[in-house]
Amino acid sequence: MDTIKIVLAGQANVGKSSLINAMTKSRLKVGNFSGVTVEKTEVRFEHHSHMIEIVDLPGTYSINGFSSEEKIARDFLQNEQYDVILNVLDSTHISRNLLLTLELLNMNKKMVIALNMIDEAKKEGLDINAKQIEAITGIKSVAVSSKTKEGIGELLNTIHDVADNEVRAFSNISYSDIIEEQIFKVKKFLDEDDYSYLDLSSREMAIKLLNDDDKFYKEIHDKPVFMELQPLLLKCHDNIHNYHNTKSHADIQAIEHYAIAKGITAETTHKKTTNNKTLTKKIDDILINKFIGIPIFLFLMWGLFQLTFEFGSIPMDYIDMGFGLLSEAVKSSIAHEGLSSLLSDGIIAGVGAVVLFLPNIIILYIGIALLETTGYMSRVAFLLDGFFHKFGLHGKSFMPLVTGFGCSVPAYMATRTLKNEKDRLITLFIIGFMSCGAKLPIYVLFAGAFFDSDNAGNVLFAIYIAGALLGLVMAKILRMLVFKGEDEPFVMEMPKYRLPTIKLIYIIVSQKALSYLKKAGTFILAASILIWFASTYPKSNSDNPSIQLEQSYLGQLGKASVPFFAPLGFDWKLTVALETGLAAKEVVVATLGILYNIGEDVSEDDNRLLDKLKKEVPFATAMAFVVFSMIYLPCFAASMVFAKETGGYKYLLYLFVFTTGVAWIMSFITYRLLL
Amino acid sequence: MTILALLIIITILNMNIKIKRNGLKLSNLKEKKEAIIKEIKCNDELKQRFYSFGIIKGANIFVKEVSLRNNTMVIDIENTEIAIRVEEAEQIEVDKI
Ligand SMILES: Nc1nc2c(ncn2[C@@H]2O[C@H](COP(=O)(O)OP(=O)(O)OP(=O)(O)O)[C@@H](O)[C@H]2O)c(=O)[nH]1
Ligand SMILES: [Mg+2]
Repeated sequence: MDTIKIVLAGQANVGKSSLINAMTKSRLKVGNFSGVTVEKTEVRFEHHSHMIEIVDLPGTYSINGFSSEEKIARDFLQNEQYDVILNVLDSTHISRNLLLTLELLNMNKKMVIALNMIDEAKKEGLDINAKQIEAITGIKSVAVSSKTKEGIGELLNTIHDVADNEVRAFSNISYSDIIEEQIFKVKKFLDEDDYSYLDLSSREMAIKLLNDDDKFYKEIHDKPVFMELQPLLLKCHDNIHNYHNTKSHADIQAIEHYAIAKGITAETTHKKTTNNKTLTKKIDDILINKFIGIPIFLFLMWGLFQLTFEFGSIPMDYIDMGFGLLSEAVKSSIAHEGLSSLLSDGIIAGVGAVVLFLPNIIILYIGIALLETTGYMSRVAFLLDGFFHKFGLHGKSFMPLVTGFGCSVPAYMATRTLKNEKDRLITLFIIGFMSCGAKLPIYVLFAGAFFDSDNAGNVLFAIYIAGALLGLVMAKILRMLVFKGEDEPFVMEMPKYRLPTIKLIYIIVSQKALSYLKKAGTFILAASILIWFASTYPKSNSDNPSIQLEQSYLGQLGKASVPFFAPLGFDWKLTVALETGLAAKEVVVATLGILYNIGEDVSEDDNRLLDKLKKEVPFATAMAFVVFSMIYLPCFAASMVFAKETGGYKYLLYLFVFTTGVAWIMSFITYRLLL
Repeated sequence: MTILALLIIITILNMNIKIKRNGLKLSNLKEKKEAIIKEIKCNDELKQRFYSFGIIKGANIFVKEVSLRNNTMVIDIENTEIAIRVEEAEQIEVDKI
């Protein structure tokens, strides 16, 4: 079976990933802001008994783009092997999107144009003539919508045909008269000489020469024909420079392309209605307003954390009860003491403590998904840019930081949209201050235990805000002491507001919820067994469960490191929980669940972890613990990604020292203040 | 001597006029004002980014919102909203309409 390799290229946020999702059954990450895809991703599927391999690339505004994810796209397009470029355009912004198309055409590869978001264009009263675009550019063009799936089948067939076709279609684009004259001269020269190179037409070769194409220059430079060609080229270049009154090739190309793009748009699209104020603009009159924009954002965040706590606690009580009953049932039905303890005190206590917080996690993830898919994200980046700038951060750092509230791993990868290396490093270092979803259980647990339910949501909000602010202060310190340097320019597109479909939100959230559950069932399960084992053995002679616990392996480990944490008021159990939490943050609550379960009298009537903590841990210690877990090193998986993204384990060591140091100092302060 | 002095004065006057003519920057534009881009003076890297957003000589630009402290602005160009810092806006010269 032949494989057709297709690569997607298009500006940011035009719906490349959505289009792949619509064509295949994959579920690539989609979001309504620039820079969702930061890595090339491959998807394979079958179409008309051909294997099709399709590569999603990060959005590129221009082939000459500078950010690291734009470089990924360029390198792939220029150096890799593939059959067809699928150039995706946003139908509602044809003219700007065509600028990239024109650059892509100069690569002389087989190409198909997908005019995506045709549903939106129709709604906006835009009438787009795909056939006309095809006629002008010479490139097959299909109007599609990844939302309604209109045109998807036709697009697939078109790609298939183009890939199968022996010959590559040549571009029909014509430049301004002055350029065309020069092209004509060079082309004529090449024709007379019968010069040929790969599958290029003489016109394409002429354009390459006038474009100062490095590769082609090298190729032709050593040939005898270059002797005569050179003076001609010099003259042609001169003509162009004189006409355009500049020697900058980039400027000339921009002017030419801009004019062509405008021309094509004018000939191929018609606006039927003239509603001059779009919905997006109306919404933005309010949401990015200089006076109320930020208060609205803070209010929305506050609301999210209220919901996280309030709604989250409803199913939570049932889940808690369920695990409690299960534990009882195991204890009463399994006679073997060790096995029964492993199941109820180890696995059920550990895994249960983690699963308990699934409802909270889901609500938080819904919040983040809405931020990502509605288009609000970029607005907040704008609102906060001035503020961020003061702390030495880039407005675009906001996207990775928000992603960090979900999970640090994708957040570290998302920093690739920052092209200035120092901005990127600072952002990488402070992402950990944005508490990830796995830390939410710790906060919900302690907020629930130490505050009444009216206030717990506020406390949650305060914890997140405090973490974020601390992160900003750290950014400032890093900027002043370590990463001094130039500012990166801030020019960012704000996408249209889009109402995400329920299905999209469901896909995003369910993926994350499932992976949380999966982690609970695998990693946390294994960790729980280990923790149970290390806290049950070796058996001592004492009958008192808490003495037995203290003499276990885990007890010994905790006791050994407790001096380091003693000034913060932590006992050995909390110490151990922090240490096991280095593997994954969910393990912190799992550990607490097990340790406070084992060391208890069985006669206790109230068995909830929450109540046990309230009884055994002083308030100041609890808060210091929250602060410590908020700041210290992210989980193992995230640490590895951090090392990879920063480019060295050296940085991971710095991160370890930096976060542990800050965590210790901040929780010491907290402890002392509250004592 | 007098001729030289005159020449100098004329040159200075000329320069002055030039500065005035080149005066209006995007960053000076007030909220809800419209203008046409006259010239972009910045490094190639930034220029490339501007171009890809359609920020190019001759394009129409509308200032939608300026942040409270004049740090950042949102401009509307070809129906797209773009956030841009004042430092970057200073490098774009415009003519009021
Ligand atoms: N109405 C409508 N919305 C669409 C369509 N295709 C994509 N979208 C929305 O456009 C936004 C961007 O989609 P993505 O697929 O993430 O875009 P992308 O080109 O992969 O973006 P980057 O990876 O950031 O370059 C999302 O909010 C999508 O839901 C479409 O055909 N119609
Ligand atoms: Mg994408």
